[in-house]
Amino acid sequence: MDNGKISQRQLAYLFFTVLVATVVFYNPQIAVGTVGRDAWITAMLGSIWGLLVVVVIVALGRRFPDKTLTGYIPQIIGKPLGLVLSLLYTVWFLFIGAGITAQFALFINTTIMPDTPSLALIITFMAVAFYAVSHGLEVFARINELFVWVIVIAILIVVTLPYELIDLRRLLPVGQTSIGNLVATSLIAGSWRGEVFLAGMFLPALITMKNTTRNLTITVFLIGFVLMAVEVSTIAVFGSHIVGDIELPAFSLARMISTARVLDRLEALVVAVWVSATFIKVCAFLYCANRAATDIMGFQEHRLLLAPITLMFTATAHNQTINPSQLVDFLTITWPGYGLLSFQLVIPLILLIIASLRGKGEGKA
Amino acid sequence: MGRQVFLGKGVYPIRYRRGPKERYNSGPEQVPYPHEFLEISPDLAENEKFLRQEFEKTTDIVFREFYMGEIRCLAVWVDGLINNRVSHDLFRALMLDVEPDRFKKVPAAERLDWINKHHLPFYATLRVIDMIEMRRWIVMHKLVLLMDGSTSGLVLDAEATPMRGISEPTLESVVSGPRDAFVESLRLNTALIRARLGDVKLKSENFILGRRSNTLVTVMYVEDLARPEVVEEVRSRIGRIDTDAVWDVYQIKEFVHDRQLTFFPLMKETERPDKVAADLLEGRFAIIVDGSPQVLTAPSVMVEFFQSAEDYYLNPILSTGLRILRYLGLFIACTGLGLYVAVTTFHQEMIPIPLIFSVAGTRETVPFPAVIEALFMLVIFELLVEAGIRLPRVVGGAVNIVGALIIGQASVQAGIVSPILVILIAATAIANFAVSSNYLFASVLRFIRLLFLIAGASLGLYGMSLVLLCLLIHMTSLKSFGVPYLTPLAPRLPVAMTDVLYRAPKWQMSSRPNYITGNDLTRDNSQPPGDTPESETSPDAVKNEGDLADG
Repeated sequence: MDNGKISQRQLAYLFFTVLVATVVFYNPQIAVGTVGRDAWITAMLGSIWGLLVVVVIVALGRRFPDKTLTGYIPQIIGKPLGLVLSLLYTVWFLFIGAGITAQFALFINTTIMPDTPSLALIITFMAVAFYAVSHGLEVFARINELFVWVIVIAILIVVTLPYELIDLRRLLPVGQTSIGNLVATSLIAGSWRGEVFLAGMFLPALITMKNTTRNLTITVFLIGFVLMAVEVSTIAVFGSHIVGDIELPAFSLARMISTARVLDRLEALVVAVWVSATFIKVCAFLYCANRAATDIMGFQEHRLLLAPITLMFTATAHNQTINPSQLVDFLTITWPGYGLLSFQLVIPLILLIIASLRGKGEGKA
Repeated sequence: MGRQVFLGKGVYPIRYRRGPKERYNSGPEQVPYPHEFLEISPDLAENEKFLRQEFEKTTDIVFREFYMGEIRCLAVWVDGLINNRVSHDLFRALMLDVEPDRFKKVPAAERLDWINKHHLPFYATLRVIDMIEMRRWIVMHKLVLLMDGSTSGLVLDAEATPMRGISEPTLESVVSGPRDAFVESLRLNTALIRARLGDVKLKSENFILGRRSNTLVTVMYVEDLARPEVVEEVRSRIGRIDTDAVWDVYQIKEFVHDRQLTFFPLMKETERPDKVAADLLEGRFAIIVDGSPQVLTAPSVMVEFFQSAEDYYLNPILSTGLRILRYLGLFIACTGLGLYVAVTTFHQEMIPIPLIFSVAGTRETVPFPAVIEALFMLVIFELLVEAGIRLPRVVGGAVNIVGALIIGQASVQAGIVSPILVILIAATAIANFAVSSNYLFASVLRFIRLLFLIAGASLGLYGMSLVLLCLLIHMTSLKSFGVPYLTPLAPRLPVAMTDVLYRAPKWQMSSRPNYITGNDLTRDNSQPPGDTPESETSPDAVKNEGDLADG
């Protein structure tokens, strides 16, 4: 995995999947629950947060072209403090990644396999993720190139096929929420978009850094559109009062599809998207956690720590198995503070400022 | 020992190399050179004694003694491997046509050379000064000529290995397109390829493999299309082979292909010369083994196994349709059974209401869970396939009847198996062999189907998606001679996609696949029909020109 090199296209595709994976399933419910029918505006506002993260993380990456995020933190703020911060980042990757795995198990439990114990789901899932990551970044980046199209097409189908039920008037009136409320809610969507800061761990694996900012920005805004489309479609089908209360509105949307008596019950499609996208996302987090741990320990061989990290990942995921309302609670209250407002945007921004003040790093930001 | 031997004008120089890796020379006309070295003595009796000793208790070696004038000569060959007519010509030329008076005037040391130049109507001769090598040539189907007073011998190519004639391909038959298939003779196979590809840059290099079989192996490639590093790699990998015997490409395949534990074929074998020619033109190399009716080509990517030779001899729209059909077949063959088991076991709610009644109705009498039922039928079917291959042709009909009537119909009537499952087994079986013309790849699909079935039975659709993920991880990590196995899908190469999911018209596939070909990516320079002003006057002329340019 050390020598795996990925192209710009693979990076952009990878982040498309990483960013789209869970946001389209959980964000609609939370956003609609908070700001009602104006939720789709927050989806677009979230892109701006994502853009800020991209700018900061790529600027840092250009300063330290051959180092990962956790690799250059000690260089910027000194070894003792830097190692602590790097460790915190490792824990972040582990914690959030495990949370995604737990959400995945929860999703499979609530949708298609109610009787299977979630531990079985988590273990099998992590075993495959381990298999993928042990083959290196290149491998799951390539698989993702296949998945991106499946995901895009499936989302398009789910969003457009309930056309008989779509009533766009349900989106009116627009803009009844205060700006402050919209911005505050956009922090939630933005925290998902802020996961683009994982790019800090992938930049050294790029063949060339050219156009990275542009490509990641396009990806972030595309996610904004996808999320907006899902939210518009769910609101237009169910109405904003219902969407705020149902679990997984996108899944319910797929259940509504009944076209031409053949395309019936397309929730399998949603499950397919969910499995493939979450898989890539978990792989990315596992890769990051492993890479960060390797950086902290100063190892050269990246495969060495993968098994223990995967084990910790699995255990944390099992520990985090919670019920859906707890999850929504976490995502509404904790997530923006733990994500965008600290690890994703604020800390990298402070790092960038310190780095430029102390003149660390080779390249110009 | 170890000295360089130069044998004068008109004769191939032989370079003697040492060391286990370089024991055999390679190249178009180089010959193997053994370890030991025993100079041919001017005394023929001594040479004969050596050979007779070596071939003691060997009844199929012929020693033919004759005189040219007063000079005693000896011809040695393996009975049955030498063309009778040619050997007849040889003795006629040497014994009757040589004028003894003129021959006598030639100095003893130059006599063999003189004969070689004036009296041997053979197209390939080789002068050898080593008795050990002489011995080797005899068992390598050559006729060997020794002469009293001469310190060298002649090796004559009069080979006539028993072989069958060129026939139609049995595994990869097509409706349109060429219908010749490779046979067991290396020379004939290279000729079939060369006949298709009259390119100066088409190179062939010889290797002798097998300590005991001494089999000729040829590597062919187009010099300016194949990547030099790939060709160098093949050379070194073949050079490293040190095995007892080789007579089929498959025996070489496992030595040559990348060292990965996988059931996917990383090299493609084919029995069609046109396929090999097309592969060579895309920058691949071909390995031809004497005695094997199949030729290996590599580097291979997975999508190749879904491409039929016929795709290129049919209208692009039709072949695109066929290709989509094959991909659909791939889906059915791999996942059909697994889906049935997963859905009936775990996800009954996914079946549309009208269908669930008919499925439940047919399964009502079945005493086993769906997975047992499916496994039972699958095993029976695989046994039928195996039996179909092994059974003597005479009893084949009986097996068909047993398979179709007894297994299929009776098991349903007895209520052991549901009719839907029988339909599924039949559909997967048909799909399986329709997908790929490569039998090995079709066998891989049979294996994958079993994996999906077990996964679907244990973890439902989720388990099947995990298996799919594992397979994808495995396939993306595979490489065939440095080319990722899933190219051009992942890593994605949009230019090369013209020949994957669909088959673009020839004038659109104007470049060779850049992930295999080294340089000269331009395959087709002709204008698309209808684009040039000339084409308005004679569209057909332009079209034909394009076809010709493609070879």
